[in-house]
Amino acid sequence: MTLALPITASTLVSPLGRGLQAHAAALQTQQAGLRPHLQAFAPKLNSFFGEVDALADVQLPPALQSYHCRNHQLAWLALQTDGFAEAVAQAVARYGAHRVGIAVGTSTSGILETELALMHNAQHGCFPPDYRYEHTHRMNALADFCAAALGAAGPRLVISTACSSSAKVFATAARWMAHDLVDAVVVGGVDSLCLTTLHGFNALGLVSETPVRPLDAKRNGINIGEAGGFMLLEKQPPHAPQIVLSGYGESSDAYHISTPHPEGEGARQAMQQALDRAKLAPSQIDYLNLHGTGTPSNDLSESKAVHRVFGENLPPLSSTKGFTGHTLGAAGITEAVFCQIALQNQLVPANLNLQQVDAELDLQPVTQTQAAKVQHAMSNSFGFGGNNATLIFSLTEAAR
Amino acid sequence: MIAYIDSVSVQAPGMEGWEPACAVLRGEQPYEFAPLSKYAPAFLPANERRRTTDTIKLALRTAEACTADYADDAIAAMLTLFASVDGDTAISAQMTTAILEDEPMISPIQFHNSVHNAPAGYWMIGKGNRQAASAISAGDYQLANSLLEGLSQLDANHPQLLLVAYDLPIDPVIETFQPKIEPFAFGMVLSAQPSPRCLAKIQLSLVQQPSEVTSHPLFGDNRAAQIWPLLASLARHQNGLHLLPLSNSQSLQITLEKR
Repeated sequence: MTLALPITASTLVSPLGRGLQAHAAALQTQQAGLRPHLQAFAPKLNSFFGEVDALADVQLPPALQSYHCRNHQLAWLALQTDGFAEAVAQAVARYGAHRVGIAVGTSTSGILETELALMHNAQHGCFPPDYRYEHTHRMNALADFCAAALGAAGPRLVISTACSSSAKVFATAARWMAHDLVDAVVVGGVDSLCLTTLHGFNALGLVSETPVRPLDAKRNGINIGEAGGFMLLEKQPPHAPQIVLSGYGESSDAYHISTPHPEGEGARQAMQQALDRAKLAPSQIDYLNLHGTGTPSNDLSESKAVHRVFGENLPPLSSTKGFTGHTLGAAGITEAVFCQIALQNQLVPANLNLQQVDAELDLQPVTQTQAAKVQHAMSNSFGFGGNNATLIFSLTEAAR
Repeated sequence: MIAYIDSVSVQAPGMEGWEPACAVLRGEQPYEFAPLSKYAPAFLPANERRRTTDTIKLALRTAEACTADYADDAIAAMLTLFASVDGDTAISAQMTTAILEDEPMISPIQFHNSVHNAPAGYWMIGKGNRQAASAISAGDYQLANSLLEGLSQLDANHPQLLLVAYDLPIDPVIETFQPKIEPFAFGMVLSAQPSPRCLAKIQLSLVQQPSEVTSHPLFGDNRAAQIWPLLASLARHQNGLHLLPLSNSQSLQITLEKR
């Protein structure tokens, strides 16, 4: 294998709970995090939502107060989970702040803060005095927030390619390391619930009123969720961790701005590139976490791509969107962590809410979370604009 | 990290294209404001073309101008990176205003145009390009991180990358404090290997010292204009040594060698 980037720390906060253990437990016991109502604000449409509990109560430290918004509350909560911030602090101490980069993804940054400011303006005729567009809603804000919170001073950027955002950050991190710009990179992504996204997807007719049913014959759209997650990649960690990033692939559909390529051509290319980079045969993939949004067109397109890459021997596969909803710009990191859990716990998570698999897809998704030998796990993330990314994670021992 | 600049374009009010920009960059002519001419991305199907916004158009006209001398298959083989700090704030303003209504009506076209990678999506569609495309934002550290993200992707299998950096003023609806930002965009084709097209060689390295984040005299806090001193070296056919802020304590050093 040419690529084997050690993952030395990780964390995830999602509708399933806070931290790796909570997520492993939820996947094992098949406890979904979707509910038909929201605490944060009153949605003006019927659906099921993946909300992180009590996010509004999260306090940012005084020095970071100007970054206050739901997206950064979620980022902060994740950084303070699973000892992640401490692990980064150790990396900063080990390599120097300048050798620690930040590559994070989001689709809408802190746009909810702008929504709230405009509501305030409509009611009171003025913006809230503490509204700070540049530290909340501006597209780079999450990277600046993470850098300030973690004391990292290496290269930093936000990748915002819709729902592939926090998958593509792994590719950026791998390249920074290949060029010896950094010794460690914090990768991840955060997207938080907002009315703009809910109503935007609703306008496209892509929001389901029922719990999302990926791959089902009656699937009719997505549930929207929120999540924040991070991984720490280290080039030469003092102790070899259990999991490595072993492959990534990036491609474009060149087809349509919001509809996937009907034959899954871009998705096929992303998966194939990831396999090539990992020097793995398709038959060596032990679990495939599908993008599997639950829209008719995504799942059909992705199924065609999967058949083209894997041929007759499909790996155990599932979409985990039934657990979390579609966490959009955070979907890549959410499902990267699910691959990590699959590898560390030797399980393949269920594809929830299946009544009847769509025969046209010709897939046999995992219907119950089950024990399995998993050495290599692949995750797909596809976004608007026809933007595709595929990641492969491996057990360190299998990557040798 | 080394790359070769094979093509460059500037699109800004009063400077539509590399040649008009060169005259200003060399100090031969004073900058004179003139509104950007009307532009429509003719390479897109009519229904897609009609849907593009001012932000998307600025990005696409820059990409088009920068690749005007390239064959279709060469353009379709380029990696593509669109860099914008703020993205399409006009759309954000319209959408966040629309959701104030009791029955919010967001236009589906507006919504899919709102993603930061919408210009990249349209470009890849219009040019039949299935390579990797990305859309990034790095705020005050925009250009240094954009160049790193671009150059680090070049290798034997991916010998060329189109970088387009652009920003427009922030829509006043969503930003009460208005930094001075004038529209400005530049495009660059970067190559892993020297070729007859080569205008200059650039070498990037990181240095452990901060660089000040400054405003541009013409384009204000438009971070795409952080490229200005480097473009001035290019326009004057001079070697150059430029420092750009990469983070709060590091800089990107760019050594530009004329051809």
